[in-house]
Amino acid sequence: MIDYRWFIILCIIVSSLFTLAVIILTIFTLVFRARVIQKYDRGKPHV
Amino acid sequence: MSDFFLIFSVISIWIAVLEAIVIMAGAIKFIFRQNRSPLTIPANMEHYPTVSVLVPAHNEEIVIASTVEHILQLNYPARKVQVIIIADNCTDRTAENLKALKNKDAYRDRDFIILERTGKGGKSGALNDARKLATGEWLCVYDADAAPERNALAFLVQKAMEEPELFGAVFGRNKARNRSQNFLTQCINLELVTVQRVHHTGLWELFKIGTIPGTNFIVKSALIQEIGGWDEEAITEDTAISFEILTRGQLIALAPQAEAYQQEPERLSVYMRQRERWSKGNYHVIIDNIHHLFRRSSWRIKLHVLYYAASYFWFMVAIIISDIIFITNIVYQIIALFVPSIVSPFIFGGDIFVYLMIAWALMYYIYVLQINLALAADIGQSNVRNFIVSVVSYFTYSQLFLVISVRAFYSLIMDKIFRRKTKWYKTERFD
Repeated sequence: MIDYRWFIILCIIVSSLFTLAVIILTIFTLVFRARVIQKYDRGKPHV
Repeated sequence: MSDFFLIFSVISIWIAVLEAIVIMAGAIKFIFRQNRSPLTIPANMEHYPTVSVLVPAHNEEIVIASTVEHILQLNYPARKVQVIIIADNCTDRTAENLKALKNKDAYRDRDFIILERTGKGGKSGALNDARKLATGEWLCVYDADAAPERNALAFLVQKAMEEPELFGAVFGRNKARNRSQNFLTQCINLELVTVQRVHHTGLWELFKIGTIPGTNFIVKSALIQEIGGWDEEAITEDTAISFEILTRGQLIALAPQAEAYQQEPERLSVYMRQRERWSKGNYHVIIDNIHHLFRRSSWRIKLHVLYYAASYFWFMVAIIISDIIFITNIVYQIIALFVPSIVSPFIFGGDIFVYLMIAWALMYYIYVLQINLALAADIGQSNVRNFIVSVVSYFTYSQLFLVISVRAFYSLIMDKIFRRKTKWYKTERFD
């Protein structure tokens, strides 16, 4: 059987970096959304 | 062999996720930068260039009068605007409706030409015929259902005036006018909003890459002249002309405040035909321009070709392979409940399959996140209903893309083998 340990290590590193990046992007998105709602929405329903 | 497919899928999905992260980071940078700059409607446009607005219309009696009236009422010096409506091979009342509009007192003195055309070439042919009558320094193209907002043209030209030597074209933003009609139009709206508010802004902010969207854009008349007009053999003339502009060292700039509307397909059959045409056209453009990757072309055009090639070929193949692996394993696991001896062809050593699932989960998450960033940027669209549609659309609407791409590619191959001429299909309109 082929040894894929090197690939598993690569998977762990890449997945961790991507997860961190995605968390940062999520925070930015939520902050931006909160600012927009505070500035423009008045609690009215939008279609 | 199955290990190779698995590793190929994992790495390909990683690259797709990386691309999404980079573009989204660019979009966030664009949004925050734009929020710091106040929107200014140009007050004095006397030094602005002359513009010929071209509107190709094939059997558009339902929408044409409204669009042309919007164009005639644009906030731009009237003496600098020439309007040319091309009634292209019309069998309905498009031309009659236009003549009635032209006879109104408010528009009688405007530079307003109705060109009734019976030639070939589809939209490209119509634009090329109109070009012969155009006198403007810039050409502006609107589709027949565009109904541009009052300052749309002013914003496009304002952007062009920032770098008149460098910007060969400027494009704006298009909104779906029938976005709430049904589930299909809601999904199309999410896609449209995401492409415009995340992909277009991200690519422009980071790489100064833009693509003409087919409507609501301006392009230098002299540049179109140099290119030789629109390609009448191309079924996606907008993508084709974008590459021609980039090849000549000019940029296609984004003016996000310039807004117009478009009517999206409301029936699945109409949608599938439209998207198959777009996919097929884009495959043609990629194949015609792939040589730039191996020549001394600018890095920008190489990146643009790579972006299209990756989206339409590479990532598509990776998603199809990973979907096949997932579905095959699920089916075999169900069968194994009744026939324990059965073994899936996709058995992998170690935990690689787990990392394929993690990669897929990251891709799904960033898909939903991009949509919701775009919705947050489009005032009033970030609501619970759209969030639910964004979550569900990956498993429904987005899967159509696989079917469309495979069918378009098959059709392209068949055209090549049997030397068939590609037929330009006009999207059906709704009341």
